[in-house]
Amino acid sequence: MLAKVLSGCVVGINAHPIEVEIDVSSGLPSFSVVGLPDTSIKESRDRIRSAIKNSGFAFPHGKITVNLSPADLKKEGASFDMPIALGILSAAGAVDPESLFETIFCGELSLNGKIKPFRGAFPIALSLKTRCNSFILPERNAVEVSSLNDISAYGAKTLTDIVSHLKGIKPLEKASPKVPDPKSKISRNILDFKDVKGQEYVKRGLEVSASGGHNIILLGPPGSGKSMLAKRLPGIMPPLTLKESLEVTNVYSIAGEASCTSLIKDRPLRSPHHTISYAAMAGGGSNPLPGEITLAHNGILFLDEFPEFRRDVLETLRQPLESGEITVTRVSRSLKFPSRFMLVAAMNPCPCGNFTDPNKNCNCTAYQIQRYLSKVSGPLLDRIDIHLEVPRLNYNDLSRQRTGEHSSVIKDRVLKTREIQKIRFDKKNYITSCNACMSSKDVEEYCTLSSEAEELLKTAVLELGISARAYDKILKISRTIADMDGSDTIQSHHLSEAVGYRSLDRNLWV
Amino acid sequence: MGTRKDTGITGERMAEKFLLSKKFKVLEKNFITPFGEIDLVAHDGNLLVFVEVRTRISETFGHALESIDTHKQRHIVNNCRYYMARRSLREKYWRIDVIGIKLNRSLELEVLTHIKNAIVKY
Repeated sequence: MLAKVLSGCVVGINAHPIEVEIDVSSGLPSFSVVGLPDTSIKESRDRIRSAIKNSGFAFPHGKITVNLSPADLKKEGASFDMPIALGILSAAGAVDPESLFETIFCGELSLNGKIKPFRGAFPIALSLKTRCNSFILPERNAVEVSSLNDISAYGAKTLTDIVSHLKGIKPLEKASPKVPDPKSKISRNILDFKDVKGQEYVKRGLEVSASGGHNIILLGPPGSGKSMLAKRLPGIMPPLTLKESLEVTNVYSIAGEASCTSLIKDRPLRSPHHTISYAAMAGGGSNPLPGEITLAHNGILFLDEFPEFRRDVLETLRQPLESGEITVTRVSRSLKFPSRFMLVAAMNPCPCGNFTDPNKNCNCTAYQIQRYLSKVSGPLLDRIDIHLEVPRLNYNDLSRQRTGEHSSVIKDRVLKTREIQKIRFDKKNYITSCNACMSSKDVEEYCTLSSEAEELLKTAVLELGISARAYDKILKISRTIADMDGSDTIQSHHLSEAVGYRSLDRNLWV
Repeated sequence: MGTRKDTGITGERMAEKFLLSKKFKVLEKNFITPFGEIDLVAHDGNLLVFVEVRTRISETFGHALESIDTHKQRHIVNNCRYYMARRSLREKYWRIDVIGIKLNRSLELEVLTHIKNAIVKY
């Protein structure tokens, strides 16, 4: 008696269809799984046996062979429990084999026959919906994928539920996306810029960065509010587009971090600790999983205490910052993960932190400072557009009662600026339409300077010792600032503001 | 209900009777080897058949046939090899069958399962 059930398996950020074939033949009772299963699949034997027995079905006495095809692809995860169990029930005659056709089954079983959620339901639904658009999944996963168009996902609580669904006794209900609870929306902690007193210059810089998608580094003494400011950045970022939202939900589903009841709509903010390993940052494992930079895809990667990160960890950021994806190569396979993120870094100017503070003494030697700064390599710094110095606040700023601008007001302006950029780059068919992604050819085409601004730039290059690589960056930033102003050409005050955001180029303090 | 030994002996007798009814010719019963014991050796036509009989009264601890794990299978194969060597039967074709028997409390036959070629010789 042979049964065939369709299932899926996540590879990288995509999914492969897997045919689960189950043969129950006469012979001494045995249960073997072939087709490169990993340990969690081999262990499924015991779960399945108990789950079938405890759901009130008979476990067939015979030689059971399970084949996961294609046989050359390594499979992992407990999500094959449900298809194997149904295949066995079908081969034993408890379920009509034809009722298993044209549906994809995935789910982990517990010993009492309950079905438990698993990692990676979203990519399976996303990649396989063209092949077969009906899914039977654990309840939570069914809700997770139900926000996808043109699929029907059924959520099941127990193995018995599925059997009665397949027999047509009691059909399962089609899952639908949960409307987020308005109460939880309030409790979801989105930090507001209104809590930050003073630091208007830095807030403006962050607004420029959010408007143009520029990478940014914040420099300042400890306690000046670098982290506080950076953590408020997601609140003024534009919402995810549908395509971006699908990508983010996909990645989070694989990482198992999705508490997804529907698509993820907010830009992710990842702030890994500086002890993070290279593999955790870039993605890794013998069967590679996405790392922090992929989890920050379409969102913000915030690296606090930037120079404290290990050198090799920081250098891995170079390629993804350039190309928006990372290729993780291991012996078994090589995988591409998306990693188009906005980098926000924060650091002290020297080991003791007080170097730029006018009121405190810095005890660091010039050599120490140089060593500290050189931990961040030139090529990496090259990919960061905006450098902002965050000064320590004096008493007057702190004691002032006036609160800052609300994030929602800033966000409206950011959205307007993004709209201008969207129109500009629409015909170019770019993946992201923001000024930070302009090529040098685009810079030439779109960054037209007024004569006054041109004169200013010339002086800046000559007198401040601005390098060629900083030249393009300044033009890009001034383009964003001009867009914020609603101006077609870049005026001198736009340019001078942009030059102000390149403090590390000016070598003012080393 | 008798002892475990009674159960086993009853099962083996039933198995023998079953084989005879299937036109098997029984050659040996409880053949002792250094590795253990072969329950039955029989001829099925021209083929030499070793039979392992498993008898159960209660299935609380699993089905009779499930009690033959890989360890036991290896023992059975060793027993058969020993028998072949002892009787100088190297050229003869042989196979191993398993008979699972379920008895009720008063040692009457409930189910008899005969699996031909149950254990692969390796």
